[in-house]
Amino acid sequence: MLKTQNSSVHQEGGPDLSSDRSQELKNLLAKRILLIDGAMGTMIQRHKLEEADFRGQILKNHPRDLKGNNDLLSLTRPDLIKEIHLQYLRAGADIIETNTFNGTSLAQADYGLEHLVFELNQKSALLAREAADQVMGENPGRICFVAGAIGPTNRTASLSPDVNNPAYRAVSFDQLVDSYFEQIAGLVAGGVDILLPETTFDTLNLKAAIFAIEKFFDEKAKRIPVMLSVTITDASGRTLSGQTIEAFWHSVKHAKPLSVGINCALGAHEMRPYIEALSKVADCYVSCYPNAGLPNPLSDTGYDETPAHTSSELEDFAKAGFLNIVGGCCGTTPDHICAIAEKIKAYPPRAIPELEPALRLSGLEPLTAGKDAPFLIVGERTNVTGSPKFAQLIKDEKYDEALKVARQQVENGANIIDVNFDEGMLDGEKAMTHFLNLIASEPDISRVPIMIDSSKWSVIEAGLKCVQGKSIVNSISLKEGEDSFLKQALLAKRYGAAVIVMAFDEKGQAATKDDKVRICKRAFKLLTEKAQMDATDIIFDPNILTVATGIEEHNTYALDFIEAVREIKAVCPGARTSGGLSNVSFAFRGNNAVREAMHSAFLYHAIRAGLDMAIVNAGVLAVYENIERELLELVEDVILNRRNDATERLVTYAEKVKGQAKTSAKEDLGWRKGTVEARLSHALVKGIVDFVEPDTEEARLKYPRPLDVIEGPLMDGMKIVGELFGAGKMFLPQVVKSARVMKKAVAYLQPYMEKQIDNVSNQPVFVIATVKGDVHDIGKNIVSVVLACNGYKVIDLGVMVNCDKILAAAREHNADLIGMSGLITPSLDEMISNAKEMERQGFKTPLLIGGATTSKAHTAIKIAPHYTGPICQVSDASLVVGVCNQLIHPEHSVAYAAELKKSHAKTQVSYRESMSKKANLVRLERAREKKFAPDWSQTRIDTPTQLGLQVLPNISLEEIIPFIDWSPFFWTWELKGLYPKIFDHEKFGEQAQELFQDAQDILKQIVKQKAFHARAVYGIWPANSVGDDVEIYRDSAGKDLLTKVHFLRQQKEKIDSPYYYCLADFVAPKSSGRRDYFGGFVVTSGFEVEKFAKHFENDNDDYNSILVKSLGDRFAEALAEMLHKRVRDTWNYGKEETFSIEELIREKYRGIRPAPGYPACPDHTEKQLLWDMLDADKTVGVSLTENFAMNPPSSVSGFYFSHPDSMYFAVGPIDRDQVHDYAQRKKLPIATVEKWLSPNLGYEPEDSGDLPLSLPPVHIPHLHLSET
Amino acid sequence: MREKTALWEQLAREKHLVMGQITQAAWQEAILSSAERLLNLGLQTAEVNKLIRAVDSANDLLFITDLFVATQLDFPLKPMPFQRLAQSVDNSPYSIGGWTAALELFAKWLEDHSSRCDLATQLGYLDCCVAAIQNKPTPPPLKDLLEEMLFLHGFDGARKI
Repeated sequence: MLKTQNSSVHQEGGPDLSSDRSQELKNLLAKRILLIDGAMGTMIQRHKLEEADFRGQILKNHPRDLKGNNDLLSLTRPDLIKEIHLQYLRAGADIIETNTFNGTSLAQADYGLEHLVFELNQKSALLAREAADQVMGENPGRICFVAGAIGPTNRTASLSPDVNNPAYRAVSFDQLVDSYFEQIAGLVAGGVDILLPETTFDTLNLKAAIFAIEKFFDEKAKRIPVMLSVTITDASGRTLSGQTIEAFWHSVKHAKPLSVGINCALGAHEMRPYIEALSKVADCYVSCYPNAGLPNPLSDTGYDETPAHTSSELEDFAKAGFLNIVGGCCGTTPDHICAIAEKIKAYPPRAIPELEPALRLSGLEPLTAGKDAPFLIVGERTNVTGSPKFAQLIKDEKYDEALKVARQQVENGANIIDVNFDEGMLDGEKAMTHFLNLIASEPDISRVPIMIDSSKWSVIEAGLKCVQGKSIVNSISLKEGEDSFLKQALLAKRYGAAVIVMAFDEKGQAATKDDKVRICKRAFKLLTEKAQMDATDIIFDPNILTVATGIEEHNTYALDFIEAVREIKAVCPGARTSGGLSNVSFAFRGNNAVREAMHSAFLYHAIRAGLDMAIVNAGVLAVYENIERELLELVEDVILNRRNDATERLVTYAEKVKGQAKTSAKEDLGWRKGTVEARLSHALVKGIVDFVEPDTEEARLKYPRPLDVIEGPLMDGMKIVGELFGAGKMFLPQVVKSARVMKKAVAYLQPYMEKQIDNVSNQPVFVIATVKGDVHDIGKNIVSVVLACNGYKVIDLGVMVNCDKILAAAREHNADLIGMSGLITPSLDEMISNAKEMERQGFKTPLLIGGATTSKAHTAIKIAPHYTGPICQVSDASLVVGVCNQLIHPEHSVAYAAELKKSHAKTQVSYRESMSKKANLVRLERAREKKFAPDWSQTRIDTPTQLGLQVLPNISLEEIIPFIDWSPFFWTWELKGLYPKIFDHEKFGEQAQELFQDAQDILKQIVKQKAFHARAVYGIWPANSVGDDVEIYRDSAGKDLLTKVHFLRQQKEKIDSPYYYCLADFVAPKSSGRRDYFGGFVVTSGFEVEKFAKHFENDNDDYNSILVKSLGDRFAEALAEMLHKRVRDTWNYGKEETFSIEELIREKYRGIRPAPGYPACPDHTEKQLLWDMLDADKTVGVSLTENFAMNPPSSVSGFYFSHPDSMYFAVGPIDRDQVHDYAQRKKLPIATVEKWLSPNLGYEPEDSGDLPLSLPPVHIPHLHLSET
Repeated sequence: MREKTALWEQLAREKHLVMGQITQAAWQEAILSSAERLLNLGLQTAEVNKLIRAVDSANDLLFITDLFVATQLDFPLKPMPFQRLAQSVDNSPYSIGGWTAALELFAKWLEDHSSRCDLATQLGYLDCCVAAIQNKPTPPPLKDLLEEMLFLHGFDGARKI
């Protein structure tokens, strides 16, 4: 348990001034240079002890050899050890060290004596104390001190003993802490005056010792002075683990020791430069106890230097003012100490220097950031949340390449590297440990300090246990209150790390300047006063938030940050400031030129305000002076919020930059030098319409008949397109563009051909329609275009087409194939019904099924049994040509039809088999017992400021654009990936950029011409749940019932999840006595979408027509997201949000908006209730078809839930008992409910007339076993 | 340990009673062997028991145990995916038997492609398969769905061996 200053514990690291001996020690150190003793081992060696001496009586029968275990002699030869202490004291030593250099369980494990550790340390301390007291008795007025010697152990925490596995460690930080703690307990019990971890070869081992010491002091509420001593192992001036002396000091300074020094390994002469360096940077006393020169096996003591030699070297140190404590290590004897005492007595002690306040960090090398320090760059690329490349390398466990990323950051100038493994698929603690251990083996990386970055404290702690340098914790905050904040701060301090403090408090993230400053001031006071943290170890991150999002209140975000930095630096003296830079430009994802300019301009102003460091991609920062003038002005207008239209102007500029790039590619007109056939072919393959009319005219004049142009060069070009598309070398948008060229060429030729065009090569005929009750046609249109490109004559009957019309058209045009499309689930029933009708009318024409809700399984199991002709579900436009070609092929069609039947049969068998592995369904009663039931008396229910119906009849399109989620736009065009990463996709990247640019061009037209008419209706009403229904009231008293909405509950038996969810669970039950609220909405881009698209269709431009429709859908979805934000604000809880647009699109906010007909509330018929509540036909002009599809198609609807734990889920399979219950609640016949809920039925309804597929539902009895 | 063994023996009796398929002794052998290996991997006893209760067959239990062991061996840094598996199964319309059949097919596919992949990534891919058919009527068996997805979209989350 860590204690703050409010507890009755002394400041960490500082000596307990109430202790007499501590005070006497300080008094003496202020007056003169103190003497510490010499080597214990050297003195013991002189006695040439045998195995029996080491064993004594107590370990006579110990199974292992004990000779050489010098520490053991405190128990078995206490007389000898005491005598050595007396010799040193009589030689003049003020401080003697206990005989406990190897007194840890880790070191004693070599002898199998771990169990004696406490006793051994206690006894050693008592012996030394006895000797000291004896000499003090013999010399009244003299004070002698006992230092408990703590060796480095025989293992190293920063280095791997296995060259083939650099991440391996023979000892962990926690093992070291435990082992040291045990030793410290023995030493203190024996009465030592000082604790002295010494001969440190690995700073991480020493940090573990410091951690153990502080833990011990905290637990025992007692403190004694601490001396630290390191070993420089060779002439390179570094520790064995690679640190320079100054880096070492920065790593252990948090111990606030009485002294720090160097001992062992070198003789005084070789040690001089390092003692000199240490004496300049250490703001505590400095100790030095070298070996008696370098080892010489031929010498008696193993070392060369005589007392006279060593003492004169050390006299030089004293003369230079390096020393406060001096003595000897290996090879030195009481004679050496006596000689040193004599030589140094004339010199005053070193004066402790006053150092400039600075943030002092370290890797293998030190990093000191004082008042005039340059701006620090924290490399951001080793962060899985910010770098997809790094994330992938870690997921693939390609650590060598991941290390390269780290190395590049350092090579590109990063002063610190940020390391983050916050990814759901990773074990953060393990990944952090593994990666930091690897970094420790790479001196060119580990020379810089590490910023250990995680939102999980356990991951941060895992990281802190791996780094020997002084690192930065990123981050802590007041988000979870003061207790948790102080606890983490004290731990960070104990591990010897600086901290980044995010400007969050219990209410959330600070967005305004005032909030940022207020939170940082509060944190500063807590850290400096309660946690006693050095102000220089505090770094504030006042949150860089995204600007230019289109939301007015975001316009000041950059300025708020800059001004907050200025004030924080003034009111929190000594603290530093930092921030994650890339957030500021997030609105311009995909446009690196603008982003880099924004970063550079932002930093320019933030640094002037006092920003000390930022997390950036080292190496890609633009130079401020080199930013093009126009761009700089636009960017600074945004950053400094200088104009109301700053965002709009920068967006326009950004689009221009991209457009220019495209134009230059287009302007390469070398292809115009080819033959007319080559040019037409090129135009078709590249989708270029600019020259289609003159080229077609040239071809018309060259060929005997216009039809020859179509059958010749145009069809040849389209064949290439078809082949490239089939081979995956062309993508859907390109194919649709090619079709546009073809259509324009054919349209140009049409007046010259009259009837000829109907006879083109006996084209196969494909009749296609969106089925009755459904209005969605983007997928259908794409299939039409793709088939038309491949020589098919496509008869497109449009949307909401009943079966009679489809079959009549098929007869009229002698169709070779029929296609039926649909998006919503009820359309599937239409398809079944249509298939039955085709069978009844004797059709044998192949039937193609497509659309988002169709599936191979549904087609095989539910549709195929009703139609004897060939039937095939096509899931992807890229497959449709192959399927159609097979189905009409004169030789292959029969075999292909047989293959399809075989495939259906296989699917049916597989489905039957899977029924034996069908999920168990729990009874509805039991599912309701395990409902999600929060403590409603404690649940926060916010009261909306406005209740009832609200209509927004005309919403600005510009306002909606920032809310567009572009990823689904690319999916419509079968470009698979996430925006904006898709732009870097190896396969789709270039095409995605081109498509996006085209979309931006059309978007501009849409906005300029106000081509869409965005509108919305929403309402929030008082409500309560009653069972699985939600009652909605007109009045707050809940007396006037408006309507009742019905929901379904999960019934699939769970393995681990405690709840069986139903949306009604997220509304306060009537029985709770608390009034809750419930909402609903409908938004649309209007029929204007279809009208605008038609304009392009009339111009034979299917590409732009489909583009417009897909943008219509995006606008509707974006409007739904934007409206939800407005509704959350109205509901009051949204006002606390400070999410970026990206976070809003990812739905990180509280509350949900599920749509009827989708997984959480799968019954489409509930949409009618929503329509009645909102009067959506009249208020926004959106109607429902007989199958509950929304018309116009670019529309979105849903319910609103505000509960803090509300979430999306899938109801999944339900059982008969719930269907019966639901039918009763809705007062509908069971068969009707079964029809509408067919996707969710966990059983086969009795009158389904389908294949007898299922076994009767199985209810597994619940076995009442006690959980173990 | 004695208490745990008694509980597992009782579970074996109940599994035999409810599922049949094999003898009680065979269930017991499968449960004891799996439980011991799973505990050695660091699973909590409660998690082991939940898994035993959920499975429809002894073969499924042994297969899942093998998967966990293989994941630990091949990907020692990845977290043990019990909760990930339970979450995936609980959030889908499929039983653990359906998931096991799909994971068997996945293992075969990986073997055919000389690849290895940790279990959590496989579960992530299957979650996507499930998301793709959410609310589609007549969901196909998960293994068929997986087969179709692997055919249509491939899988680049594996490591070549």
